[in-house]
Amino acid sequence: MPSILIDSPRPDQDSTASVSGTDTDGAAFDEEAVVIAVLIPTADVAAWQALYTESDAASPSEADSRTIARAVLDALAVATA
Amino acid sequence: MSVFLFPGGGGGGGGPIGSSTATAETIDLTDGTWSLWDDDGLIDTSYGTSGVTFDAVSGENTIKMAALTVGSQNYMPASGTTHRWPRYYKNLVLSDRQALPADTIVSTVEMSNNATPAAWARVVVCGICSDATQTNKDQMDGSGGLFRHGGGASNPFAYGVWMLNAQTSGQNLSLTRGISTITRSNQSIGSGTYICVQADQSALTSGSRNSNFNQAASTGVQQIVGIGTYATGSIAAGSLVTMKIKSLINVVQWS
Repeated sequence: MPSILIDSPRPDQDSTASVSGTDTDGAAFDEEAVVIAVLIPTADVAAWQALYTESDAASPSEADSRTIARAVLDALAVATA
Repeated sequence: MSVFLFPGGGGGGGGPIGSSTATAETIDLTDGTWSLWDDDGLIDTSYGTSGVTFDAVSGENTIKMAALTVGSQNYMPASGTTHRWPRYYKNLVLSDRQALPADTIVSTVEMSNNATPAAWARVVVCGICSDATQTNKDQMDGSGGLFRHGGGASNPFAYGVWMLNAQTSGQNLSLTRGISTITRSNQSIGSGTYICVQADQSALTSGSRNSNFNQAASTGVQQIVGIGTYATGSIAAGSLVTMKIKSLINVVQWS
């Protein structure tokens, strides 16, 4: 399975921040948020993309989803500890 | 406005290489060097000089707004792709020439909001852009310090960094000023950092935001102070923004 890394605690963001910008769907957002830096090694980008089919509601697989979710949720736990 | 070319004079001795000390200057929007872009008439230009008065004692500019009946994303400096919020601007001119997108420019601003005037949901930005008269965010190419407030008594004050049409900031009711620095060079709009400061002078939060964009080589470099809305709400006629902004712009010479 390709790897996913979390830069945690993110060295340039030491606390909850107010962030406004545009999401991946092009929609504007404005949130008070915990900023988590997700790093996908460039060597693993193609492998991750191959595991995901946007039009398939069952994609990515449960196992792949859990890998991503656990990495993000572990970082959230560290950031809010 | 302070514009310093680094490395400066001095040198020698045992100090850090290339270091120098420079004092930031208070921005006076009434000093005759600033132009106003406000095609939608959000500034009450019957007030002061192009809608601004300057208090030489406090160093604060007070800007008076006209009514905005129907708000939109176009009036939000930190959102959307079209920027129609009012802004004061001027060319960034060095001692011998106009600054260029290829230059290494380090712009540091300190923004201090005066909470006395009746609050409204507002955003103030101060920094560097390519062309303040452009309404497309990718032609304006703005970046700099940011202040925002939701307009309610319980809303926190937020200070941070503005990048193109987005922002990252720290927010708390205890904040009284924000210090931010952006670096632009070799046509990159670069990135910025911020530190939020409380009344007791202790820092509360810090953070950063990357632009991940370049500006066009053919465009210029201008200093910009913009005023807009926090969200898509309206503006009551007569609403005020009172703020002290100090600026220090360094253009680094590498050879």
